[in-house]
Amino acid sequence: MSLETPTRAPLLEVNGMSTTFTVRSTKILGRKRELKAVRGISFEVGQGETYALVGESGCGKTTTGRTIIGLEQASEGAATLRGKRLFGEEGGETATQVERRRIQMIFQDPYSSLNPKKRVGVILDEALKISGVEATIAERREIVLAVLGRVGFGPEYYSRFPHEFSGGQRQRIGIARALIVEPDLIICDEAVSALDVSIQAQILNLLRELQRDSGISYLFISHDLGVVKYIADRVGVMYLGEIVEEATSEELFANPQHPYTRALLSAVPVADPALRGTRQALAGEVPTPLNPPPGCVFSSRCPIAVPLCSQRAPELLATSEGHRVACHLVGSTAPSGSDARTESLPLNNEKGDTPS
Amino acid sequence: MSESPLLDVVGLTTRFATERGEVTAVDDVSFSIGSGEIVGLVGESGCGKSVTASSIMRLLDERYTSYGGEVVLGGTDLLALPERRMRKERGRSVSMVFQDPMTALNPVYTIENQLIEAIRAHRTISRREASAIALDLLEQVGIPDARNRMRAYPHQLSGGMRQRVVIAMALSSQPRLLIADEPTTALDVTIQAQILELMLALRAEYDTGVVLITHDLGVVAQTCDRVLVMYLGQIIEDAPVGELFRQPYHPYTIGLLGATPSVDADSADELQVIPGRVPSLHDVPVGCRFAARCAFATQQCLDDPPPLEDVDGVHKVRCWNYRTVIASQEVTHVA
Amino acid sequence: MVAIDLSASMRFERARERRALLRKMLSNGGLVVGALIIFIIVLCATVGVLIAPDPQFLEPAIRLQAPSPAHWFGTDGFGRAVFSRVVNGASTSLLIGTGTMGIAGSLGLIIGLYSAYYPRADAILMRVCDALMAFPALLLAIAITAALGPSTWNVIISLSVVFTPVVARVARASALSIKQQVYIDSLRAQGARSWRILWSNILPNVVSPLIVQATFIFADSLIVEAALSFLGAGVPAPDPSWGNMLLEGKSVLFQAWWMTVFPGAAIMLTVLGANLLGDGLRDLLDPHQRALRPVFGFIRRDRKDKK
Repeated sequence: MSLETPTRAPLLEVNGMSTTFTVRSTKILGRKRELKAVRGISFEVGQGETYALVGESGCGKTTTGRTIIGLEQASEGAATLRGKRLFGEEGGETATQVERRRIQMIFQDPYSSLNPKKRVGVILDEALKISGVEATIAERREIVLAVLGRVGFGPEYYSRFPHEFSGGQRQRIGIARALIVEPDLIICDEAVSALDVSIQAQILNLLRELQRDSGISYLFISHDLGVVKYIADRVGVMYLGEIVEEATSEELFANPQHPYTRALLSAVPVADPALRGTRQALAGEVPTPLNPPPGCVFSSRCPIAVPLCSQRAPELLATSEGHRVACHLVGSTAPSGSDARTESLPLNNEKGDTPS
Repeated sequence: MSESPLLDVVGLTTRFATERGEVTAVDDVSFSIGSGEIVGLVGESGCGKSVTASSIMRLLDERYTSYGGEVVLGGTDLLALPERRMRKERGRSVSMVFQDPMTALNPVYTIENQLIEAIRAHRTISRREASAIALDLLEQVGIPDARNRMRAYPHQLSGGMRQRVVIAMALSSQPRLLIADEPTTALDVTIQAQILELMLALRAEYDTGVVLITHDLGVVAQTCDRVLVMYLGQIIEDAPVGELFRQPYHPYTIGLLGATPSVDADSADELQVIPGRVPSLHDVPVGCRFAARCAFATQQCLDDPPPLEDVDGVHKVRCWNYRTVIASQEVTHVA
Repeated sequence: MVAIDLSASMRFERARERRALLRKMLSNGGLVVGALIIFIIVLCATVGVLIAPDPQFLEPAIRLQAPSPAHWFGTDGFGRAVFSRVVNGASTSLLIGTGTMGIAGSLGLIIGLYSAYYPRADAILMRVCDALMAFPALLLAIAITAALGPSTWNVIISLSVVFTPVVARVARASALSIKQQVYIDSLRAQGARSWRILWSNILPNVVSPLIVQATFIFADSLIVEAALSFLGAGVPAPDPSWGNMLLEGKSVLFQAWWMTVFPGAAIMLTVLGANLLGDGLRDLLDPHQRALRPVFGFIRRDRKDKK
């Protein structure tokens, strides 16, 4: 948990960002089609804060992370880090290469995120060299050993190859590599999803500890709501390229307002057999991002959708302090302060039903 | 279980020959399942749960694998059958659903064809009759517009749909036992909820016994009647699901529960980390396999491997000190 | 000091790795045999050349003599010792083989890496390679040596042109798959420049399949060179090469079998050795293809009941 509430200027600001991919048609001479993976999202990450982007596959959370760090190109919108422009047209200076490197990334697959031909110490040393830090060989070695120590490895691990490490250990080396250039923001792209539960706990605790010690911010991308609750200060729920709800972690889990968030929470299997039978599954499947539903992106599966929902896309508006929801029907139908889990959603596709 | 169990696994031991010597991936595993019972086999990577499933179906390459013990399904020991007989049983009396729906279906045949093939493998009927059965199965597993979807190819279906088709194929012969190896791990959470609900409904309909293998304790809590926890090839706890979560006896189970982040938990609580790492199968410790990482370990634990002890007829645990463990947990629960 | 500990630790690690590597190499039968054969050939080509009598020394009086204690491999149509000519031919063949391997290997590697990383270069370079590969290897080699004139170096050049596209394709395929690996993404996310990603990170991972490919190129170039020389378009007489010795022996194939059998056997043996070496190296360098080997003795059905 962060020690300070983000009252200062935000570290990272994303404004109306979209990322579009061109997809070749399945027919031989067909037109190329556009896949809008991220559709005009806006959010902020404060200093020393963990902001989680959560959603299922195809929601655009990973693409968001990759666009911010520059692995993909944004087709619309802008983002700034400490007020310096990362991409987009908005005013202000452009971030220099050095400033860009204040954002680093940790990846999901520990088995292919490290070059198998390089020793671990060399990989970290290379990260230093890339960042352009001015230091002698000996100084760089000291820095590498120090960061290895911070993630729990003694100096004897410097000369080992990645294949000599387990998945969890490799992920710690990945964290070391992100840390070594002293970033302000680390984007964690499903960083613990490929790990066993007990190793996952180790890594999450390490991330929390590092944040406590050095005030790093995290943009934590995950599909696992339990993990998100544990690590995030604020959460943005994504569906089909849009943020449909955003709130503090506590508020989101205690008082989810968007029908998708509620369905998502309802679907998570909780490790408590006493809560059986109180969950209802959301019907249908995620529509293809090549052809999203008109109006609200969730309208095709929403249990409380009305005709307005297919006509006009709702905006992400604040319903209370720090809580934004993109839904036409919120405010009039969402009860406050109720437990999402025992609130059963009507399991049908009929529009116009009022929830219980 | 008043009647004789549907599946009785007695002392199952599976060994592999590897370059670095022989490893025992499953070591003297015993459990039983009744008709209509869903038993969860849970553990982390390398604990042997998938190998146990593959051993029951005898899917492993027998040039490099040796099986020991008995796997008795409806009176027949599957491990003792000649391969020809075993082939007849696979898909008929015992079926399997695998983890990855993306590669579980043959991309060059339509759904209809694959289902028909599965149905006609165990019944001599015409293609038309099989097709009718296939349609019925697809509707049962909740595929919308099944008549048209049947003619689709796997790549035209989403992951959730493909997994439903796989389940339909597995159930096509109305097997007495269904083994599901991480069936929802590769699926989104909302789709996972749908598939688990489907499996519960089908279990009620067909009274099939189910072995559900997973690493996700939440899935276990929501679906299973009984839970077996595995560690390094052994079962270390065997209990009804309510009991396991309310009062786990084994320190490893407690550790797993403590390490699982939950949407219900208070995020200020630190996740419990189990110290150390799972030892390699090449280097199995003498004595209790978990002792090196266990807060309750005594000298006896290091020297003597504990047996799987039946505590009260329904709850079994493989631990010398479980009474101490229970007592310490009660203290924390009271607090 | 930590620095000193580090070097000691590195040296220890490297020594440990070298020992493990040696053990792995010696346990691979094909690798050992192949390496042995090549070693013998190299020995002939170097030491043998020094001790064998002059291959050009004509002695018409003893021409076409069968193998004897005086002349181990017999004499040819000009009375030259076939043994010396085979041994000297070894050095020529080795020169051509390693030269081609080196040039085609390096050039192919560079072209392949560039194509994999830069799509515009890819389009051009791969079409050129396609064009070259469309010609049958032998015809292309003949055409080039005909244009340049017959000499050992020109043979090397023409064979290099023939084999570079093959290497380029292998390198490109390998580099393309490596480009998909997450650590490449990580480097891009860190802001690494293209040259660092390509040469410092992709290249070391491409080298392993290429080393294997190189040994096969060595073997292939020997065969093509033999064919070239046999057709008179390769190493010119009177310099001995295994190929032109076959040419000279052709007319007296049945009368003086030793003139063709020994150089032919030499070609066969060397190619075999190179192929075995290549297969052995592939086993060594590509751990993903390691197969389970049945260990005899304890694969049995264990029927005893445990408690």
